[in-house]
Amino acid sequence: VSAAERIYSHHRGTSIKILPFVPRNQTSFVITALAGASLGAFFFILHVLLTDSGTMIAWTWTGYPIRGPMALPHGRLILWASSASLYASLVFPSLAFHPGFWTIGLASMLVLVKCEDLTGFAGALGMAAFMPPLARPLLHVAMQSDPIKVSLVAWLVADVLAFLQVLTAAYAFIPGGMIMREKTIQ
Amino acid sequence: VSVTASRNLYCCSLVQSSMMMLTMGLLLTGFYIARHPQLQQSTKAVSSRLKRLVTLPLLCISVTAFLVPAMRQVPPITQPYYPESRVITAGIWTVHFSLDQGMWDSSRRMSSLIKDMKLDIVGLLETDLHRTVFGNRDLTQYLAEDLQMYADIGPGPDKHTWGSVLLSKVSQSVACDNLRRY
Repeated sequence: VSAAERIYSHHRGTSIKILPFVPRNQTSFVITALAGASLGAFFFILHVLLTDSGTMIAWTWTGYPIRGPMALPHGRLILWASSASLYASLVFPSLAFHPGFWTIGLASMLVLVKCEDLTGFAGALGMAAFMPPLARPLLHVAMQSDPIKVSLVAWLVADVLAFLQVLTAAYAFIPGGMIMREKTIQ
Repeated sequence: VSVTASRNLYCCSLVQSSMMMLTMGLLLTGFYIARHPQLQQSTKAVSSRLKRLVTLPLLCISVTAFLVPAMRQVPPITQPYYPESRVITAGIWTVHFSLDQGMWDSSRRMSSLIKDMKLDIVGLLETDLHRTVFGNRDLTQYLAEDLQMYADIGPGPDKHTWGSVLLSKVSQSVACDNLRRY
């Protein structure tokens, strides 16, 4: 949309006010590593839970007779929750720093993992609303460091988490594979 | 081996859902350093241009999401292929994550094969595509829509299986009721 706006304004002969260049602060290696790791975790969780609106609904599926949500009519509620919270984060820019916001997010994650059907779907909606407002602060922190270093750490962490995600399904017999699971097998 | 297993089980009961916990912990770390006054820029007011640039796609996504179920929901076919013979045709297939030898998506050809074989009930194995390596998608959404069958998507991605799916011409809840009646 930004590119389209720029092309359109170029055709109209009007110019967009471009933000001035601000030099980065000097940041330590620890800050770079932590910011990169956090950004990598954000890429991972966004990729896993939000790229398909039916994923978190599949997490809460228990079979017939259907007592919970279905991907086709109810997947749009996930998208609406994400859109609403992203808009709210534009109106209230400090939303993602609020402790209550984090409490709700962590509680919905626990509900999503532990509960099924409609209760689990409430957690899924909470998670869908929780994730998008995190983007702006995390990107701001990451942009304070060298982009190459931050990208390196971020994508390494995202790849390791994606690897662990497969490890949990197939290779739980590997020492340490078991503890990465979301649920015990009793 | 038993020592390792028992230790793993102990860790398991101690730290359940550690995959998501790890992710959340990393996210929290980012916010811990984001609170640093030297780094804190992201609580400033958002410019009206950025608001416009974000709100427009959000509105498009919301309206499209509202319209999609109306276009994609299809009535199921409940008539079996051979009603005069009073038989049903059934099959089971390990689909290997709906990827063919060249690692391309094979759900279109799977659908045409199931149509060719005239199957009333078909079970599919290894169908959990809700993982990064398989593309974060749902196999049953396309198959159920194209074949006009009921789909049970089986254990979810958090149940640690490779997934299984039952596509059927009769709703499984109706089948349960009929079994109870006989």
